[in-house]
Amino acid sequence: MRKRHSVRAYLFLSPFLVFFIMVIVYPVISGVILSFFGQRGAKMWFVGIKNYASVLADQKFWGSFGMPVFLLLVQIPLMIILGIFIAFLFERVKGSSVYRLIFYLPYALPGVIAGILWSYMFSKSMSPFVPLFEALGFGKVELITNGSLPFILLVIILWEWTGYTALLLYSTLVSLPPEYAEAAQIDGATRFQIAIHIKIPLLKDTIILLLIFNSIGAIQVFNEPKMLGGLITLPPNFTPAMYIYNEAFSYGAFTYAIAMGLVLAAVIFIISFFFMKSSVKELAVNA
Amino acid sequence: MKKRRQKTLVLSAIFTFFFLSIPIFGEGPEGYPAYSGPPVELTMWAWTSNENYSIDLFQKAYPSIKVKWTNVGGGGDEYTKILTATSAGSGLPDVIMSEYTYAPEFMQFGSFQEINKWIPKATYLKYFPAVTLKWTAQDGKIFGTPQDSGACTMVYRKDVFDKYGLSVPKTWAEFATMAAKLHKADPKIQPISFPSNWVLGPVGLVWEAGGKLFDYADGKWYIDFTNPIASKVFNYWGKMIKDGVVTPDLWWNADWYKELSDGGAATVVSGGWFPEWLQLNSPDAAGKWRVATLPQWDASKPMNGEMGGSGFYVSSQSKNPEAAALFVLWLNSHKDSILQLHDKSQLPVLWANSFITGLGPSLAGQESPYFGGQKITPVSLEAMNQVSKNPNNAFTALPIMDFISSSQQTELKKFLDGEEDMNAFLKNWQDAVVAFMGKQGFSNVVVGQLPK
Repeated sequence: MRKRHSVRAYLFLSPFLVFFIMVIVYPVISGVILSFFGQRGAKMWFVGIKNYASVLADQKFWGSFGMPVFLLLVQIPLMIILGIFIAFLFERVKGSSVYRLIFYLPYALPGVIAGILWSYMFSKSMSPFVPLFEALGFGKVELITNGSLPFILLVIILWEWTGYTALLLYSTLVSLPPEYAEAAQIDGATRFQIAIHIKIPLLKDTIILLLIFNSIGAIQVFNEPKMLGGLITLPPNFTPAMYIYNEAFSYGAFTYAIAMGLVLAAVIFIISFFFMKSSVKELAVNA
Repeated sequence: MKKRRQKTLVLSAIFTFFFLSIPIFGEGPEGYPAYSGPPVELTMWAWTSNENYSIDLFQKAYPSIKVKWTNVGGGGDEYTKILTATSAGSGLPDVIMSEYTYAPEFMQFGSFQEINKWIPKATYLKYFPAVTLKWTAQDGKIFGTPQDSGACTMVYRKDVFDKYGLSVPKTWAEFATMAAKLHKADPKIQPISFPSNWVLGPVGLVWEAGGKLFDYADGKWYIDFTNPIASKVFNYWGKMIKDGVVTPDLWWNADWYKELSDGGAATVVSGGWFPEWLQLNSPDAAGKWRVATLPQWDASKPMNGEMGGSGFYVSSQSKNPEAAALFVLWLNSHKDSILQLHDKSQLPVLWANSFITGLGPSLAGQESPYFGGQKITPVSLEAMNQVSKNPNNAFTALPIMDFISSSQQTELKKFLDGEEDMNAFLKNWQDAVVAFMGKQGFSNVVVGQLPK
């Protein structure tokens, strides 16, 4: 009887499993195998763990983590704080569905399109900001420079993702049991106190989930800097994903790029694991 | 009796069949080699527009060969696909377009196959100048045929030159004077749009001065970025950049297109294909640009180099290399095809003998409305002629052009930020390139000298 149940379960799961094996399991396994080979064109030869040794010693690879670390430390906290703030506004404002849609729209735009759009916004000859600065007496300002690049990426990524983050937090907020807030209100707590001491702690699970997904996103950041590459000279190792892309598709070092990709996946796994573990601990404490 | 006749019939049928299937060596259409294989369909990647006109004519000349052309994106986009399909061991078409400078990389990478069997050197030399063998062949193996010319030309804004009373510079010394004068009169106009992200630009400028940065000879790769000619050329531009007269531009982006249209740059130095490209990409500037040959280091000995220009190569994965070889030969040399490529595919100047001695001179009187009625073909032909006069008229590019480009940008940025001078720029750029050659497994590298 039980066996029949599991057969039925697998039958329903099979469409997913087939794709999962085809697009995740098979590429990962063949990637692991290929990473043990040296390669030049169609020629391949076994090199053992040499690619991995090179990755570990590759300063350019580890140097490429500067931008993701900046995003992890600055962009993600900023976005979550902004997201919480906007989520509370959604909750407060009557007829907020229009605003929810407006804030969500940038997320619906593919990253590449957003990158192109913003590259126009910051370009020398077409940016609306350049004439603005000129009118304010700053002269002809060059918007994209090495120094301003992290800030520009910050603006683009915040613009793309904050609405989505706020929406996720908002949906958790409205699903919270109202009793806690009501009880606090009866006890004389202000709206601000309720938000800080009751609602935000209850959002913790969603926030941890956001931290995990956004950390993965930050480490893999590619589309936005790739699109800005037409406006400023970026080093080939500006981010880990760009370095991997360039090694594979500009220089043809595919197996080395695979080894780097797997190391990157391991880094992401460790970070996700760290967040997961601390979230489980939190849940245990809450329970 | 009946049986005997049947036998004769069968025998003659067999005889006819064998006779027809014997490869017919010797002359094919109009002196071109004949095709002896079975009917085939070739596939081709190329980013030039309207190749179909030449393909139609080719299919008439060789009825058993059909060609299916796909545009998979220009330059870098296509190169990415070549690297991927070569590494994967499948997915390459029969015929691939590549810039001359990038071709050695694909020769080394195993993306092309030699076609000497079908295009012996003598046949090749019948249709193309000998100099082009340096770009489409290596170690005596011919991999493809040359299409358009990248012989450097300069375009300049006649309206800007007239407004500020400038004359077209004949030497680089005159160019520097012109640039300083223009910069003083209107600092908003760039005397030249100097590329910071197109390495074929500076490589071509060194070439025009009779020099080179690298080469290949007798199985060895030679690298010398700090040789006297290269140092002279780079320091010339370095000084103009340091003096603030020239600010390098990122090419191929929206800002740059705008600059070409609105008079933000007074000159551009690029390949022979550029005037046509400009016409297509900057139609608003019609009538304002003119074409000239490049300023010279020594006006008494004019010479020139190349920036870009492409050939068509037979891929290593082609199952029909004979048909593919005949196609690339015919496509890039037959006078009818050359006419189509010139008229329909926006290729102003081509390397085929039939262009240099036939179509090219016949266009001498043709006026170009975009260039204010100027007769531009003689200028382009003279630019090509100057390439032939260069004692260093051909060299082989290193098989890591993408890295040469990205490392040049990285180092140039340090120069622009004032972190290093031009000589340090050349030295550091060379060090990065040498290290990368080693990383890519090239042990046969000679550093600090060029082949004699």
